[in-house]
Amino acid sequence: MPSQKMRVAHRLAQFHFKAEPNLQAVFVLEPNDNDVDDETVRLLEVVDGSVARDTFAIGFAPNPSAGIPYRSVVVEVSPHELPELRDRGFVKIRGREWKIGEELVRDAVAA
Amino acid sequence: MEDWGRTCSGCGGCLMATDAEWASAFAAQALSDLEAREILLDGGADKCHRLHFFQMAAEKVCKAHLMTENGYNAVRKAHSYVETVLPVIARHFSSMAQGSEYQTWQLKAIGKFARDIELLAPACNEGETRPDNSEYPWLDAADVVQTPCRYKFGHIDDGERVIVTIIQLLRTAAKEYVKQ
Repeated sequence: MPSQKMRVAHRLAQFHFKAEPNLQAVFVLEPNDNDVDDETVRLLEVVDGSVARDTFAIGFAPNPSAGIPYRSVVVEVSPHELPELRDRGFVKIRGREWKIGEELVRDAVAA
Repeated sequence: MEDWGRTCSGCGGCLMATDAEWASAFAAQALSDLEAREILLDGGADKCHRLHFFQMAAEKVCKAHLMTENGYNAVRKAHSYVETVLPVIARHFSSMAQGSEYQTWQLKAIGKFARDIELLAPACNEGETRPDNSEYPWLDAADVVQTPCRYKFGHIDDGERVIVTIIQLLRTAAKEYVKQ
């Protein structure tokens, strides 16, 4: 993932960490090696207490004033779903596989 | 309107409406549902009607946020998304509202209301254990016919402060897609 997009992903993750105390981990979702990337930041978010029943992706428009110039997508899962997803290595959205990439850690200031 | 890939929701090849166009339409209808709720409130309509338009607005906003990524066809007929999607939308918009983020109790209250709102839809009855809904009469556990316009919906106080927060959230979230 290009560094600019990665910076935006990190910024968005920090916003979400700050808003949700139960957000345990955030991973970037990246296209598979042969797939084309797009102008969207996709995050896999692990939330303690999540009632998510499917890995449905929730899309948001860009928010340039907040430093988020790309569309963003959140896929929320509960902690007990994560091991299976990590073993599989990808999340499927609309038939397309998105690799579970780098973990975006919580900044000290956002804790 | 931004064209997010001009993806056909149906056949994959023709120039049908894009998912972004569908999302915008659902968001616009959600705003209209909220306006209708206000009119009903001013007109002294029964609680079930206020809740019905509230539920429909919430459902359409959630669907708008699902359609762009998952596709119109995957989302259009389902009802049980509000409980799972609305808290994520709340978290996102709260995090963007620098200086006026929701408090933790507000996020929790939104999560609770999201579940109550979802159960107002007739199609969401938790395996027939929650037949109460804002639209159609139902048979309760004591085999008594209940009618929405006479039912108190005591578990939902639509005058509670957090309702204002949720309505603001729904408006903000809907406008995000209407303006595309």
